[in-house]
Amino acid sequence: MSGESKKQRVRTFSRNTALVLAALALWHSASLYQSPVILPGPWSTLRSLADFLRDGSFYRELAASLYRLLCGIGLSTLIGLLFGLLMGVSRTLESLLKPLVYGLQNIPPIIYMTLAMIWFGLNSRATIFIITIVSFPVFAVSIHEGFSEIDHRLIEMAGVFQFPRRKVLGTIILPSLSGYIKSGFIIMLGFSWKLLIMGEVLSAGTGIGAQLTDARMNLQTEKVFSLGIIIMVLCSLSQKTAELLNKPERRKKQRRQNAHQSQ
Amino acid sequence: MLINLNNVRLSYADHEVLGGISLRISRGEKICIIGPSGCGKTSLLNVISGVQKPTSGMAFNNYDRLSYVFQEDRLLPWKTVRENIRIVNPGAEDMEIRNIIRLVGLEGFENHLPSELSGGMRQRTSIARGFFFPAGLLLMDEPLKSLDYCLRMNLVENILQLTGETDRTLLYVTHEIDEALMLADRILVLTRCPAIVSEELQIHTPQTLRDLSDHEMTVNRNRIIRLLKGYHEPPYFQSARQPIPEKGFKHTTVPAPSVRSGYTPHRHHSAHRRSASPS
Repeated sequence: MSGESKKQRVRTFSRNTALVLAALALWHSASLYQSPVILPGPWSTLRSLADFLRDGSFYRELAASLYRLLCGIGLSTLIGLLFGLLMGVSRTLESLLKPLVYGLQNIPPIIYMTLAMIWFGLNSRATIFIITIVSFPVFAVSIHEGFSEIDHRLIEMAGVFQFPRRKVLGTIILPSLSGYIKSGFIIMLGFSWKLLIMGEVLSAGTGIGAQLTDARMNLQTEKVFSLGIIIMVLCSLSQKTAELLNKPERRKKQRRQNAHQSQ
Repeated sequence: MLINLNNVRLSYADHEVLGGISLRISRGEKICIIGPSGCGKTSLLNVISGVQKPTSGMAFNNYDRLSYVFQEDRLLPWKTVRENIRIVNPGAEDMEIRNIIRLVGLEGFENHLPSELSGGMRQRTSIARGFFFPAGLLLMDEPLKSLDYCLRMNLVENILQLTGETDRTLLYVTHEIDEALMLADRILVLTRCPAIVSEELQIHTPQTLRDLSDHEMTVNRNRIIRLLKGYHEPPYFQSARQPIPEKGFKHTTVPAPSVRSGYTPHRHHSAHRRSASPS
């Protein structure tokens, strides 16, 4: 059984490697026919990637970006959680907040960016602002949808046994919403990375986005490519980390399913 | 007097559910309400608990808090057996929780999640929780509905043990005659909707000495079966070989047999119980 799966794994791995190599070969041959400004080859991209990673100042830029990202995610998590819970808990608040939150979601991020540059000027605050204002409705909507999953018989039970409000929130509502909170957070994380880069390109003098602006000004297309790769890797890494937070829950679910099957 | 209903009627729109029920319940009584399904048993429970206001009549109650055991277990899926019980009475000692878990036979399963238990064990947890909440009145709405006969009788013993430990008032709604016979001091038989109390049966044998195969139980069971069968729709009976004589049953009262008559000391003998089962 395990030998077979190992064989299969080897096969999948070799097939994927072949695919990547083929794509690289295609990229390389295409780059031969184009000037390096339009399409740099894989080698020059790899070289510029190595340059970035070897350069100490790049990590300072990265730290500046991460700081903005964390501020933005922290704020949008707090605001999103608050709005999502308020919409779920009270009918009146739902009718007030729902059009606002769903409406905010439909405004193109570039409009917020323009506003942010006018309001805050060209600095970190503008970037943090757009991460927050674009991401929190995503999170809030996800939490709000989770309320339909709550078992109302449990709420009724809590009423009979006179649970105080805080206990209802902590022992029934939040655990029921946990799946929605986690998936909403992962989606929000992906959004935040993209908004971070856009915000920095347009408004900041530091950070990965500013490096991108430099590369554009100097027509160093291979730098744009390598920064793209760096951002992709960082974004997937952060999402994988967030999924790890999900793991214990999934394991518990698995255990539960097993228990059901054995009955 | 804990609860006093005086000619209580209840209707939803044009549909009359309770058609004039008068009832007095004193503190510490164990009362079973039995009736055909859909006759308004749960509605009566709601009126008694004050959740629902009667359409007319007077409902008076005099208790501080009530506890409830639901038809479904309604346990928190993310909490263990112990946490699910503790949550209704957070100030309780560990000893008390251990004691109640022992009484419902869940020793060794304290740290299991509800999904890791069988339906019967989940319902035991729910019953333990109902008893663990400090309240003078305990309402149970067909708590054993979805369980098989042996398991139900098993849980009835658990409930008896738990009620033996307290002096709280118990109101138990069911459509299973044997559960009522084992648990109740008094059985109220309701008619079909709109429900009225067609008969009150006193059970004289103390709960700890009851045997479903003894004389008092048999007499009472037959009586309840006749009453309930009379409330079903006629087509239900077309297959029955012999029509059940109706007359003479409605308003006569059979003198209660003495405690000793027909009493068998082997109340735990399952063969007795099975042969006594109407099902």
